[in-house]
Amino acid sequence: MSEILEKQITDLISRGDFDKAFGLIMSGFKERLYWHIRNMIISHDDTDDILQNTFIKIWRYLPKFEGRSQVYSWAYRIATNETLSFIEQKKRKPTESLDKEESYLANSLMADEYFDGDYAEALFREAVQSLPEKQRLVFNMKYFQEMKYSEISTVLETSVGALKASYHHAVKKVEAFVKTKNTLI
Amino acid sequence: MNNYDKHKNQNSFEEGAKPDSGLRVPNGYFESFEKSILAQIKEETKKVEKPVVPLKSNRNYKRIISVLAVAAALISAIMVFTAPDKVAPTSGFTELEITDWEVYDLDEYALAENFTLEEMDEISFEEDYISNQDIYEYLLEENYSEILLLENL
Repeated sequence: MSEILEKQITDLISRGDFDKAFGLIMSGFKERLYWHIRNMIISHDDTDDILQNTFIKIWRYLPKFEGRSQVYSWAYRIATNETLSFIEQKKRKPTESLDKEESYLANSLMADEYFDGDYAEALFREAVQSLPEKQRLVFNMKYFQEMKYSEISTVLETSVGALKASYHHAVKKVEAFVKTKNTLI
Repeated sequence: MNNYDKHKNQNSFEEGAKPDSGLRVPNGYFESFEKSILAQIKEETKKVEKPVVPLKSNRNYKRIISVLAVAAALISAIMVFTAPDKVAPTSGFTELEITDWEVYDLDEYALAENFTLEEMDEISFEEDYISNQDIYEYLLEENYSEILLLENL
């Protein structure tokens, strides 16, 4: 994350210029936050809803930001919480079970207008979706977003050691999932 | 070669490379996203500027009740401390009517303590209200013999 951008934003916040600070956060972070959420949720429409909620919350709580953490990790934390809440809400709806979605994810992805990968990629996505939520978060942040462990550690408030272990387990599970599915094809 | 092997040969995530995510974003999404968020914020700011006060807000209701309770307590306190002393009329034995005695069930000692002999003479007791004639007729009705009655009267 750009340190110059981070400094510009914190300066604006300390001066009380929240509108400009918010503008910079939005232009600087929206794409990264979008992919952070999208990799967890897969559906573009749901991602759009969550991202909107995330930015509304950032705007609402910006005047209360005390600078104890970096702005980007704070924004990531809000996006992560919003995403996890969405998953929880979806789990509570019996007709829209995530388990069911996961088992059909590869096929439904192939039919998704916002997915243009091949079946191997769809299967890979399904494998990632089969991970437990926290492990999936770590995997996505490390693998897709190429974040450093230290950065993930600040966002998820988890030790670097635990994150490394979690990522290692996630990789093994994804590999095993893909192998199993491919032997069935 | 199956799909997985093909995928692994091309983009092995163990080697740090990653496959194309395959996920797409609608054209112009990020440009329109900013506009949409700013519009939402504008809308929310308007709401904050013009807060809608509910007619029957619980908070207002409680506030009114607490103000009324305090006012009532103050008025009561003022009335107690500023109103002229009113001595409640007290009654003595002398003011009691004879009929009240029965109510109070006073014994003869209480009467003796509170009335002079003259006053006591003026008091007409219950038996004075029943004449001998009344007693006689009553006993006759109850089948007492006239002889016995005449002997005793």
